[in-house]
This record gives sequence, structure tokens and C-alpha cells, in this order.
Amino acid sequence: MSRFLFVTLPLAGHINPPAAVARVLAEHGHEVAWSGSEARLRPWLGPDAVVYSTGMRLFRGQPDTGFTAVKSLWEGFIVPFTRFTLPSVEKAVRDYQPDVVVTDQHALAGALVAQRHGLPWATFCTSTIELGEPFRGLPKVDAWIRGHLAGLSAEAGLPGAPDPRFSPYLVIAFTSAFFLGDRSFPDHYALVGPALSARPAAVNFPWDRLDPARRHVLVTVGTMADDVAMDFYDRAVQALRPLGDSVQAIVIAPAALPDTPEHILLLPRVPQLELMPHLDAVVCHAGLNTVSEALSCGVPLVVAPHTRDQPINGAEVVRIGAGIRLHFHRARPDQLRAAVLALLTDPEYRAAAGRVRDSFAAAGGAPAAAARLAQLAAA
Amino acid sequence: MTAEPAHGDPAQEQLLAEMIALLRKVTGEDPRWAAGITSSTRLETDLYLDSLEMAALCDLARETYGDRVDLAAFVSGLDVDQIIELTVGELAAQVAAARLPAARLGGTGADR
Repeated sequence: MSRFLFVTLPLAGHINPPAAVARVLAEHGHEVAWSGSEARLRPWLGPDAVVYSTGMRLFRGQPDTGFTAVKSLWEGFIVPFTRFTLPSVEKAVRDYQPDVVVTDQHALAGALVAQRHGLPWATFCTSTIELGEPFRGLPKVDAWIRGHLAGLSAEAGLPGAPDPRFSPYLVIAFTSAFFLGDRSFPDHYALVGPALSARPAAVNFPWDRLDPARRHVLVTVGTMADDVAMDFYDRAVQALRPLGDSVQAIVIAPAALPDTPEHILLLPRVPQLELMPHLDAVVCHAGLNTVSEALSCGVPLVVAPHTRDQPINGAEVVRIGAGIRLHFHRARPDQLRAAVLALLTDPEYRAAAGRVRDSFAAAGGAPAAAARLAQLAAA
Repeated sequence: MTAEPAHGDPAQEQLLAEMIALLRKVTGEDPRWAAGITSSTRLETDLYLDSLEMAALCDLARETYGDRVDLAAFVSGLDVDQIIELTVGELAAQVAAARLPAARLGGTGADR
């Protein structure tokens, strides 16, 4: 049996897939310890998990979009977070003596420390941002990121080390090759589909308010600055306001909106995974978790990408035919309404979403990821 | 950013108006939105132009002005800060530069 150290990012959506994989590894008798923010990890992992805490470093780039977001992600988060966590990840590796280090693609300290100790390491792609190669046509942007990576490697005592975003041993991506346009990847890439697991704390939901005679639409923009989110929710509620005869909407909004009609349930939190099978459409920001959860249940989407990998995910949803793309900031209520109605009336969207669901099921999920990690540890 | 067209140059004012019309086409926005756009309006930070709309704008500019106007090639040569700060006026200057005879190209943006 083998020992794995999982190195995580304290960002929403980056803990769920590793937690699901760790559970399968434990079921097969392997041991998993964690490096990351104890405050973030503990609710997911329970009191018995071994956590080497890195402390918390907040990421303040959430409202940014486009290249402003790319810049704040790297210079405001990934680079300083790597420097900040390098000593604690080093200590975790020395204390825990793992056989394999498993690191989030942007938790670069995991990759650097593993290389420093000559340990095999695996990359978890919990977003599609690097797989989508968004800067292929922008050589100066690509060179700027590579400059940061080279600088961090040199600081870690590894001048000229390979790209810490991609393990040469094993890269596990939590989506399917079908979702990414059936592009071919090297053999050491495993596209295992989403590794879904229920959220840690039980969230109450008024299940008795769901009217089986109406169609159900979920509206969520995930973790986002409140003012940016509320502006979108306001337009979404305006869009759904006249549809009360045939539609019930669940809107995950952090604050109340005035005059919300009976058929729109405004809730701060919902059990999203449990809700998904009851839905006919999802309106979202195209974050990978929400997109994957919806498509896993064959639910079509209105995607309004906001930042980072969301434009990539949104473009794939549209290419596959599983949804309609609108502009996050500029989508008007009438456009949002027309898009929702199209998903509810044209069965082709749901059929296309079903093809993604099938590709996810065939990709193997958390058990497939755990099997590849066990192979790497045994090699 | 230095590509502000000089005020009162009717040819440059005309080109700016044409560029704003192209922006309206690729975003589907209304005249009120377009009325707020000047040459110093930034495409990403002020207009939230996304990558698909940017690509559509480059295609539309080529269709409108011919193959010599290759905004995509111009953008591909920019670094991250230049992309963040890219303005409508700079794109208009690129179009102007590509349409002018080479001899009149003097610091209109092609030198960045």
C-alpha cells in the first residue's frame, strides 16, 4: 500500500475532486495526507484526516475578467502562493515521506518539492485553463507565464526544471476528452471525467416547494464577488419573472432581490449535486464544477462565462450543442429568457448534454484517477 | 498608450466611428452603448470585450478593409499589459496604418 501527499489550492472547486479521489484510495487501503489550508480542507475531510497546514492566503482577483484576471491569477495568486507554501510543503514531504506527491496544477510548490526530492508526482487539472491552451496565439503572454515558472523553479533550487504545471509522470484532468473536442493527449494524461462528491455540510432545501407540473431552472454564478454576482442575478430574475406558469427557478444568490415572485426561490446555498437530477436547465458562469455537475445529469446550460477557464468551458458547451452562450456582463433579460426557453423547448440541447454525460460515465471518474495513481506509486 | 488620434482630423474621426460601428456589430449592443465609446475606451476593462468578440472584430475588420488590415496579427504581438490596456483608438490607428501608403507611416501605432 502506498502513501500519497495531496497538495491543494484554497480555491472553491479545487478541493472537491481530490477529496473524491482520496476517498477511493483510502477504500483500497492507501494512505493520503493533505497539504493546504486547514480551514478550507477540514470541513471536507473530517477530523481524522492528516493535514499539513499551509495557512490561508486570500486571492483577491475574483472580480477580474479577461487578461486582467490572467495577470491577477499569476502575479496576485499563483506566484506568491507558491513562494508562501514552499516551506510548509517541504516540511510535509519530509515528515510524511510520501511515495507520490499529487498536486493541483496551480499549486506549484507540490511540483517543485517533489522534484527536489526526486519523488514521482502527478498533476490534477481541476480547471481546463491550461488544457485549453488559451495563449497559443499570444507568444508574449505565453513567454511571460513561462518566465514566472522558470523564476519559481530557480528559486526552489531547480534551474531549468521542467514545466511544473504538467507532471511528466501523470496528468489527471477532471473532464473527458469528448468535452475537450476529442483532442489527443499523451499517454500519461488521464482524462477521467468529473470526480463528484456531495458537499461537506448538509444544506437544507425546501424540496416540498418543487412543483412537478413546472420545469426547473437553476441559476448560479458560483463563487464570485457579491456585487458582480447580484448584477447578473438581477437580470436573470427579470428574465424569469414572466415564466411563472411553466417554470420554477432556483437562484443561488448571496442577498435578497426586491419583489421576487413566488416561482423564483432565492436561496444563499443549495445542495447542488442532489438538486441536479431534478433540473431542466442551468444558467451559470461556466465554472467547471457546475458545468460538469449539470452535464453529468444530462442537463443543458445557458453559459455566461466570466473569467479564467470559463470561456473555454462555455465554448465547449456550445460546440457540443449542449447549451447557449451569452455575455456575462451584457446579456439582457430578454436574451437570457429566450436562451432558457430554447433549452426548455428544443430537445437537441438535452440530447447533446446526454452525450457528454455518457462520455463522463465512460471516463471512470474518481476510481479511474485512483487506479492511475496507484499504478504510478507501484511503478 | 499613445495612439490617440488628433482631434479634428476628419479622416481619423471617421475611422473611429467605423470602428465603433464594428464593435456594435460584434457585441449586438445598442446606440446608447456605442455613444459612450471614445478612442481611449479600453476593449477589455471598459467594454468587457471577450475573446470570441475580439476574434469576431478582427474578422469583421478584415472583411471591411481588406486583408492588409490584420488586427489579429497585431494583437498576437502584444504582451499581457498591452492587451489589458488596448484601446479602440489603437485599433483604429492600426487600420489607418495598414491602409496608408508606407511612406506616410509615422508613429501611428505600427512602431509599438
